[in-house]
Amino acid sequence: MPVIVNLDVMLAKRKMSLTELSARVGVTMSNLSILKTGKAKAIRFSTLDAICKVLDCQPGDLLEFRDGHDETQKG
Amino acid sequence: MNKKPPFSIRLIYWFTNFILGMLVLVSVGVIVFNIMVATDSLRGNMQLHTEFPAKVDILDKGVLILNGVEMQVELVEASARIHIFDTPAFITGRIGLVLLVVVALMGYMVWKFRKFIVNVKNGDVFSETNIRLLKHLAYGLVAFWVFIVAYMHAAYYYLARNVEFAHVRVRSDVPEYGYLLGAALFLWVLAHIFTTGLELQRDKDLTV
Repeated sequence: MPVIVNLDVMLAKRKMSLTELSARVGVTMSNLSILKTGKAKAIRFSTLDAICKVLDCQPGDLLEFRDGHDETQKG
Repeated sequence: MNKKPPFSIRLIYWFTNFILGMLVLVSVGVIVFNIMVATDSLRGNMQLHTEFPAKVDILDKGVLILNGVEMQVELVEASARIHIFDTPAFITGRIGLVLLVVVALMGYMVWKFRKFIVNVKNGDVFSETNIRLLKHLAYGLVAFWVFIVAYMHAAYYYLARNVEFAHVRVRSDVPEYGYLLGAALFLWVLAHIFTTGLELQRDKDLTV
């Protein structure tokens, strides 16, 4: 899928761990891990909204369209 | 998932357990029967009373009273069962084997169905295991249909065709058991519906 998730980049920028994000957003670690590793097939607006609020960013900071990007993504 | 399964699922679960229990008892009985036949323990003292794949033409007049109205009626045909006095060993042996195959096939299907119901009861509905179980059930029903139809044709060929009675006329009525094929087709379609369900389930599981 050419849409990639830059959650790890945003977490690094905000110096926040996945565990802390999970606790503050109210999404399980396993689900955030699915999102971070690019295995997610879809993301709910409510989840995106909560992550953007906690990380103080825009949806565009988390999602990026990269043409020609294949299924395998960074872990 | 700790949610209590719906009443219908619990009901069919207990019903399947009951059927499986009965089938185990019947299987034991059939195995014992076959052992007795094989060891000649019955000593030829067998009174076979079985389904007869034929209809008999009976012409008899009678009276039907309905809502105070008396009507003249005539019996034209009836389904038949047959009793073979002092059934010879070669028939008893074959019937024993037929029963063994029927019980084995039914046991296989009830066991598979029970596994499917247990999975559904535990909240594991759309899974590859369930799809496989549904397909196995469909194939099992087709195998059962093939066997039972072949047996009924053989029974007609060897029994009904050669029997003669003084007052009734026997004619061919080999049942085709089409409902078994219908049920198999339904289960096969259900397996494909479950395949779609599994894809949707995976999509849902990967939606964050």
